Amino acid sequence: MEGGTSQRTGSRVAKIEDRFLLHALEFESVLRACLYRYSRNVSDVEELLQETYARLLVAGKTAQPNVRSMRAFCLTVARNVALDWLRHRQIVPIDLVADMEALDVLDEGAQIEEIVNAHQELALLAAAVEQLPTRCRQVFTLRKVYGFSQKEIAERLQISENTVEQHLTKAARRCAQVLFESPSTAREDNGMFAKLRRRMKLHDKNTG
Amino acid sequence: MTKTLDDFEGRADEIEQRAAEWVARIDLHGTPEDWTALDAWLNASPRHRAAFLRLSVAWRRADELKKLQPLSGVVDPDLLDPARWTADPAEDDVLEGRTVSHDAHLGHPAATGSHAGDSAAEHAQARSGGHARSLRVVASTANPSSAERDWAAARTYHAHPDFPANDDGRVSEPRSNAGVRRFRSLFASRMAASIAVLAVAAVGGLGAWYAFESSRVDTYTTDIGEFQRVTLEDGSIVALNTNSEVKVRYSTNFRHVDLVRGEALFEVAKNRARPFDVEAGSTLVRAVGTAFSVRLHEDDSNERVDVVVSEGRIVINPPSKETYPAGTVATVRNGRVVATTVETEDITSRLAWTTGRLMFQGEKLSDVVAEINRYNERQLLVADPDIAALHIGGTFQATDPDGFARALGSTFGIKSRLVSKPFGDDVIRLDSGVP
Repeated sequence: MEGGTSQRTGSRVAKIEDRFLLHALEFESVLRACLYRYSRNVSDVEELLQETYARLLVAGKTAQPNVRSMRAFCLTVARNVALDWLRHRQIVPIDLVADMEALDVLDEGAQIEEIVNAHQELALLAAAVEQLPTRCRQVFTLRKVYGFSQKEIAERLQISENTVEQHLTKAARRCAQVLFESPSTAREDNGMFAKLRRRMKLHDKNTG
Repeated sequence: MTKTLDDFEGRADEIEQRAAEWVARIDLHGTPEDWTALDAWLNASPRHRAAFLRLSVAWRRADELKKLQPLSGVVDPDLLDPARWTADPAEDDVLEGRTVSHDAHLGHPAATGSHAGDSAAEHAQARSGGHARSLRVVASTANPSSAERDWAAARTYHAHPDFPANDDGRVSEPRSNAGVRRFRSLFASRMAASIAVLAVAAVGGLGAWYAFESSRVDTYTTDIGEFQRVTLEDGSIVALNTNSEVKVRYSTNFRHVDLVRGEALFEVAKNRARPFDVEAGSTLVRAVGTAFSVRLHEDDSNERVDVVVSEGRIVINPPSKETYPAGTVATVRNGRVVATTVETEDITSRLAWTTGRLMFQGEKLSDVVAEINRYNERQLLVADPDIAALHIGGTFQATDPDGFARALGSTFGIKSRLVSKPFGDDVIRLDSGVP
């Protein structure tokens, strides 16, 4: 046990250099909204978000010149990821980039929405559990709330231990979704976004 | 920043799935082989590690849900009903089917052979049993199960923070006698002994009065950073943690220990005729032959008592009949008991102080520092909010804050600085070292 815990200072445990990522998780909904401007395709946004987090990890390792606002820094990285991606698809015009930068002022307004208190967080989690498929909900609740072992759960529910693991895998993804994503992903296309979108489409047509 | 074209090859979902599998596996049973394989996977790409950290943070945060466990600790039968799954018969099938290939992919040495065989056999069994049970399920899905009502109740309650927690139905039974019990124990602990004697005499318990009077009181205390192990006259052992005090009153009929402050572990000699009671604030913990620790928190106005049971069984606040077995970690606030069952390793780590060490398994740095500070005059101070949420794992000497600060420096690059104060104790300031 002792050996086990002291070993855990490896890559599995969050370190100081992961501070950008840990910070960014707190406003994932804003990052998503930011990335959403560059693509309306959900799986593209997932892709860009994961790459953003990966770059935040890498950024944490290199010595940092003073980062005055973590939030601004994370948003800049997200935007750079999106721009690389657009460039990679050879569709991004310079004037659009300028617009995007001006747009980030909007994100400050979103800060109010993000402040989720602990009560709300528990309520969100409870609601998410309720919506899990029956078996997944059983497994997750027995593990998380009651602390049953894998073996106990498998025996009581008459499923294999591997199935227990797979149900928990599903539940883990659901937890992250509930805690970090937010309805703002599905935010209505307002005037500003719509305008950009039209320009992007137009450009797509011209270049593609 | 480096970027390559294959950064965007569309593998986000696959990576997240794999990361989630690792989170689940590590949560259930991390073997040394698992750790090695996980490390290799994490080091393969920053994307892997990013996805893993994100899911780990969410997973840990979902521990909040433990609060929703009913006070009795009794598991809702619906949760344990294997037949409930027929509501969505495809669910297990899909997962069973995927299991084998994922194990092969993760390179789990043990899983590829044995688990695959198990799952096929068990699957067949579950399938054959499934049809017979389906009738009952139809009935139970028509009405929401009590577990579902619990979740719904939890939501309702949290939507209205002013609503008293006791009113969500699940806790109404223990509440009925909580008031009486609390009054009784408050009475016993707060009033002078002579008044207690009067009360006993008024009920007519002359024998009890005699027994009470003939008992003597032994007081044991420890200062900050001290530990003490005392063997009592019946052979029971009390291990006192840092900055703690107990008063022991023994008579022919009872064994009574007051935990005045701090934390103590009790290894109780078996004697059914003489219950062993530990009173901590307004909470009474009763054991017959068992080992358990009690910690009294009185930092702010809210009293809180933590109980860890490492052997046997205990009762909290008799006349409640509810017993808590070894492996229980219980918190008592205002007479409300919230108990969870934890793994043996967890009990070991919670009682590591009996050997002068502290074990952490991913607690936040701020919590770890608060815990170490209990043992030392030289206090650690997290001066940088950015590092307060770091997760710490490992074993540390409780009375060596300097060693802890050094360990933080070598693993996390955290800077520590000793600040001496002219009137008072030294403080070790910790910060990220990032300007």
